[in-house]
Order: sequence, then structure tokens, then C-alpha cells
Amino acid sequence: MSTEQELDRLLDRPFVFRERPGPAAGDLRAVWRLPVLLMLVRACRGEKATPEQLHVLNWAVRSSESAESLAAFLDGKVRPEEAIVRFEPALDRAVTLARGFELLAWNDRYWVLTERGRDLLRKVDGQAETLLMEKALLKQLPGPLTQAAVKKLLGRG
Amino acid sequence: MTLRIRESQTTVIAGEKRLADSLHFVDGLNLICAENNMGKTTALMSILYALGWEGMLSPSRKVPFPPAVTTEIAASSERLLVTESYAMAELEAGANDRLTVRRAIKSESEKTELVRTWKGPVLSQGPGEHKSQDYFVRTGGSAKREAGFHHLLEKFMGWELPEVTNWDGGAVKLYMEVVAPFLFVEQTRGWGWIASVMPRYLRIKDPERRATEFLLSLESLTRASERDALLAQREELRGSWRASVDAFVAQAGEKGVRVENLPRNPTGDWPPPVLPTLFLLHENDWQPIGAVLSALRRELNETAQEIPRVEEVADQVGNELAVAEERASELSGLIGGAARDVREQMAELQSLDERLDALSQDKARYDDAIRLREFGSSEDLSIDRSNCPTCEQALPATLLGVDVGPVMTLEENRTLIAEEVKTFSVMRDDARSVLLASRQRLAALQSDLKDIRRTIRSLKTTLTQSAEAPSQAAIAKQVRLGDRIEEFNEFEIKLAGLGSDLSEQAAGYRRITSELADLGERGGLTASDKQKLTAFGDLVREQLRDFGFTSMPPEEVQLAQDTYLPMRKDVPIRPDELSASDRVRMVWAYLVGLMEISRTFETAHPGLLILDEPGQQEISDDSLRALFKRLAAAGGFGQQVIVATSKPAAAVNKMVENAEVALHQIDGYLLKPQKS
Repeated sequence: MSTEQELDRLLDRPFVFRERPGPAAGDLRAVWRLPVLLMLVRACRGEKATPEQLHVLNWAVRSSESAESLAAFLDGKVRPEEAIVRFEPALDRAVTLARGFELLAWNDRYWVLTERGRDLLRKVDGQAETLLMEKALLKQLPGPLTQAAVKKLLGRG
Repeated sequence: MTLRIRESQTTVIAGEKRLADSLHFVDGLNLICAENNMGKTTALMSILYALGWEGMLSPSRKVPFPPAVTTEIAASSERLLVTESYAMAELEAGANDRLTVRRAIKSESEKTELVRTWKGPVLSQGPGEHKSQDYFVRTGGSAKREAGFHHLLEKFMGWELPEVTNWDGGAVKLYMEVVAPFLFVEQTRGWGWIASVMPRYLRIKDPERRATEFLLSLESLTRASERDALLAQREELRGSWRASVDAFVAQAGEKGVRVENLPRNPTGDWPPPVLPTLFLLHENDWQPIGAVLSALRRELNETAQEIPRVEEVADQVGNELAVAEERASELSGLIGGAARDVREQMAELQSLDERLDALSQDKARYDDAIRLREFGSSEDLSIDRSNCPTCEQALPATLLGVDVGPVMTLEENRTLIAEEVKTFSVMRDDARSVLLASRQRLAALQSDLKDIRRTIRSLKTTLTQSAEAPSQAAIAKQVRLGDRIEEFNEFEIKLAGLGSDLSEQAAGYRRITSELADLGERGGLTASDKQKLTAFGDLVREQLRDFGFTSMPPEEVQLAQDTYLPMRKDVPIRPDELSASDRVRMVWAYLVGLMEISRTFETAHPGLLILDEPGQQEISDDSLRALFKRLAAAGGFGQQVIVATSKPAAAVNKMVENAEVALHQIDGYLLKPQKS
């Protein structure tokens, strides 16, 4: 039997294709993203946040470079155009979920923490070893993020 | 190691009125029966507060009492402002050893951090001649300093709290607040799972594990601390070894010297079977330094004869110049290629480093996600759901916004990332070695080129000298050979010096490795520890059967040898796998089991258990009856359990009929006006 014929013989049987689960980036998991989102709301002035404030903080906690960039801008050390904010569509989905889970509420102008959201944040605060990087990066900021600062950063003020 | 609460009293002064609850406790089961909101939790919280253990609930310095104790209280149909309140408890350890403690809840004159103590039974017998002494609690040093209340309490109870590792890698005392969740279950959050209220803000690593090891007096706790110390020493030695080796290799590389067989990681096997060797690029080939030095010395000897005059060597010099210039041109070409290789390899290494950083960040997120999912063990805060809580639609597995098909579980994804980290780490280490070799080659070629250019200069100078003069080239060659021999000799000496240094470090490494091997593998238990854990597991299973646990067959519940927490078929049992009432049964079985094991084994359990409303989740009366009957047996072993329940006293009486219990039936509020 030729090699080709042998191959045909070996391959002449039913094939089954099964979809195997694939990986996903950790920050796209709701269970990780929602507590981080609540921390971002808390880091805004008055513990209430506009969508723009959330996107700015979300960008800031992605890496130490972006956190330093935001801190430098807030300290007046760099101009707005030197701190390039990246918007992330996944954040908006996370906000919607947080609303559905009653962790955040919309009061016609801002996203605010609900009592449930605060409870969850208390648990996160009590866990010394969880969300270490995000907690450290938020601590780097000179103070609660104001809307005025965000407007200036995004070139809208 | 015992602790009993003999008396407890909460006092509230409001206007002219003084209200108090005074409770007396005996060995065995003490039941406080009162309707909801009558002050049962306040009574138990008063005990916790008097012990200075309220730090187990939260880092807040706010006193854990309701407004009736701190602000305004109802007394004889009027509402009065609270001006002062305090908690007192009379503690007993051993046969006649009593300690009475008092701590202000609200006071103008006493800080809440102050604990006033008397070495005697002041609540039951009056102050007598017992002198008071003040201590402090809930501030730094309470556990370690002589004036710290927890330092006193530890001695009083006969405890010896060990040192454990915190998240900063340092050693700290195992705080009482970390052990307390296994002895005191508070009503609102304590029943979610075993030690569900755990003060993680104290930053102790694996606090549940350390507390369980301490209470069970497992030898593995001591071993864990010793192991952590040895691992820290090993890490330090690894750092020091690598620093020495890297510094030497870098210095050698700058001079174009390659080092082989010098292990970058510490080893106990020193000197190694194949000795570290230095290599030099000689005539386009890496040769051992010994061979190159011999060749150089031979050449130096030959030139050490009388320096020839220019006229004698003019033709030779001319030929040498041509060869040298050709060689210089060849080297320039090779250097260009070598520099390009170095640049490309640096770029590849950087890209691998970036990939590894991204992977470790992702792994950290998955570790966080898995921990965060545990918060969802209580229905209230569950954020790891597959359906929207508002509209019940299926939720996507990720926040991508598109259907990506089935997605791995958190654990599967984390495992995948861990495997990727391993693969990329190997690739990075390989890339590092290749880059190092390329850098060494580049440095060697550059060094050769420098030499050749000097040779060319001196040959050219010779050709322009007068015929009678000694050949400049010959002189320069001698000097150059001498310099090179000296330079490479120095490296040999330095290598010998490094060898001595590494020999000492290798001895240290051998010692550490041997001591770690003696301690056993991570999580290894001694035979006695295993016996204890097996017996503990038997007690847990027995109780689960008694209490009517049905979420899974009780005989399939085991205790993990590393975390000591319940598992089934080698997989940790997650609270959300059980029904709400079975979660409560599991907490009963575990904590009661911890107390009961001390009846047959030597442990550090103080024989005290305080449970606020164990009848959670409308648990069946049959289960509660089984629990109370079991707890009633504690008296026969000199142990004490205090339970607060809102079950009517009549119902409780029926549950515990024929068992010896101390029943405190409270009508109305526990805090009652006292006669002045």
C-alpha cells in the first residue's frame, strides 16, 4: 500500500470537533472588574463619578506608567496632551453590570456607591493581599479626582 | 491553657439611672434566651470587648455597640441620654486564678484603649483588697509590651502565641484577634463560613491556617515558621551568589573574557565537577585562558631577545603591517555583525520580559479574581453569577461585548497562565544566555581591534624611524604582550577569589538545604499531626451526621492537610456549594470539633466557645437540639460554651431536657435599671 493510501485508511473515520473553552484576560472578568470599578468610584471627589472620571481612573490603574502620568498631570507637572487617556469599552459594560448587581446607582448625574457596593468595598479593604497593584496605584494620586481635572485632561475645560 | 468567663456585666449610666445586665456563667452550656433586640448580642459583644478581641471584626476603632449603650437608651418608658457605659468580665484560668477586667465603652474620663484589671473575683465578690492595674489594648504593642493587655491575657490563659510571617515577609506575633474567630461567632457575618470574619488587615499570611495550627498545637506551625526563616535565608543567599557571579561575568565580558561552567544559581556542590573556566577569543576561536596565556608568554619570550634595529626588520615590518591592516578590516566586519546580533537579541529579550510582565500581571488578576469570588459565598455580595440578577438573562463570560464561545474557569485560566509563565521564563533565560555570549564575543572582538590598531600604529611609526633606531614596533609588541598577560592573570586570580567566596556560600547553601529537608516538604505533617487531624476530621463528620447535614454525604467530607478546611474528593468545599443551613452546620461542626479534640489531644484550645444565634437560616429544631445536646456535654470536660438564642425558653428547655445546662431566660431587655 502506498503512503497516500495508508494515510487515507488511517484518516477514514468520523471526526468529532469539540469547542474547548478558551482563555480570557483577567481584567475582562466581571468578578475582578467590579470591585476595581467600585474602588474607582470611591477615588472620585465626593465618592461619586461621571463616566469620564471612571475612564480616566480606569486608564490610570492599568499600569504604573499611566498612574504616574495622571499623578504628574494632577500635580501640574505635565500638560494634558502629554497624558494620553485610553478609553475602554469593557468599563462601560462593567458599570452596567454593577448597576444590575446593585453595587452602583445612577442619580441622574453621577454613579454613586450603594450600601451593597460599600459592603463589598469593605471586604476588599480588609483583604490585604487582594488588588494590591490597583490599591497602590490609586494611593499614588494626590487626592480625589475632580470633574474639573478630568475636563481639563480631556480637553473639554 | 484555659479561659472561662465567670461573670459578665454591661453597665450603662444615663442621667440618674444606672442600667446593667449581670450574667453568671458556669462550665458546660450556658444559654441566654431572649427575644430579638433585647440585648443578647450586646451581652456577648461586651465579653468580646472586655477581652479586647473586637479587632477581629474590623480595623475600625469604633466601639461595636448599638446606640442603646453609646447614645440613648429606653428606661422606664423614657428615653435617656447615655453619659457613661462600660463592659466588665470576670475571667478564670486554672483552678483559682481570677482576673476581672473593665473597659470603658463611653466615658469622659477613660479612653476605650484602657483596660483596668484586678487580680481577683471583683464582680462576684466585690473589690476586696485587690489592687487595680491598668493596661492598654487596640494600639501597637498590646500583644508584646508588658503594659499591653493582650500580653497579660496571653500569660493569664497560659498561651504562648508563636511568631508567624506577615505579607511584608517579616515575623510578627500571631495576634489574639486572628485566633478569636474560632472561639467567638458573631451574629451578622460570622455564620457565612468557618472563620468568615477574619481580620486580614493585620496582614498575617494564611491567618486561618496559622490560627488552626496554633489551636490544634500542630508541630507544623513551628515547622512553618522555621521553614519560612530558612526559605528567606536561602533567597538571600541566592541573591548574594547571583550578585557575585553576575558582577564577575560582567567585568570579564567587558574585557572580552567569557566564563563557562560558573553556575548562576547557588549549589551545595562546590567545587563543581567541571571547574569554571575563562575563555578568550584568540584567532577567531574561543580558547581556554591557560592555552592563550601560554602562547602569549612564548611570544613574549621570543621578543624579549635583543630589540632589533629598524634596518634589520624593515621588510618584516612591512609584511606585518599588511597582515595587521587586513586583520583590522576583517575585525571591523565581524564587529558590525556581532553588534547587530546583540541589538536583535536585546530586542528579543525585552519583548520576552514584557510578555512575562504582562503574564504575571494577568496571573495576579486571576489570583485576585479567585479570592474575590469567595466574597460571593454569601448571597448578598455575589458578583460571580451566570445570570443577571435583574432580568435573569444569561450573562456573558467576559466583558468583551461579543460572544467568544466557552471560556475557561478562573482556575483553568490561572493554570494556563502559570504554564505560559514557565515556558516564557525558560525562553527568557535562554535569550539571556545567548545575549551574554554575544556581548562577550563583541567585547572580545572590540578588544582585538583595539590591539590591532595599536599594532598598526607602532608598525607605521617603525617604518618612519631612522634605520639605526631600535624597532618601535618590537618594543610596543613587548609592552602589549606584557600588559595582556598581566590583565588575564588578574582575571585568573579574581576567579580564584570568587571560587573561595562561592565555596563559603555553597557551605551555607548545603546547611540550609539539609535543614529544609529535615523539616519536610511544604505542608508536611508529622505523624502526631496527622493523627490529630484524622481525629478532628472524624469529629466533624460525626457531627455533620448528627446535625442533619445533607448537601453531600458527610463521610465524603475530609479535612485538607494544607489548609485544614473541609474538602470533598480532594477539592476544597466552597460555601456556595452548600445550602445556607448546611453552611451553618459546617461551621458548628468545625468549631465544636476544634474544642472537642482538646479532650483527647494536647492542644492550645482554651475550652471556651461563644456563639451568637447559632440557629441561623431557620435551621431545623432537630439540628439545633442535636447541637445543644452536644454542647451540653462540654461541662463534663470542664469546657464552657455560651450561646445566645432568640428561640423561646420553653422550646429550648424541651430541646435540652435531661441535659445539664445553665439557662438564662430574660424577659424584656437584658439591660435593666439597677437600684442605686
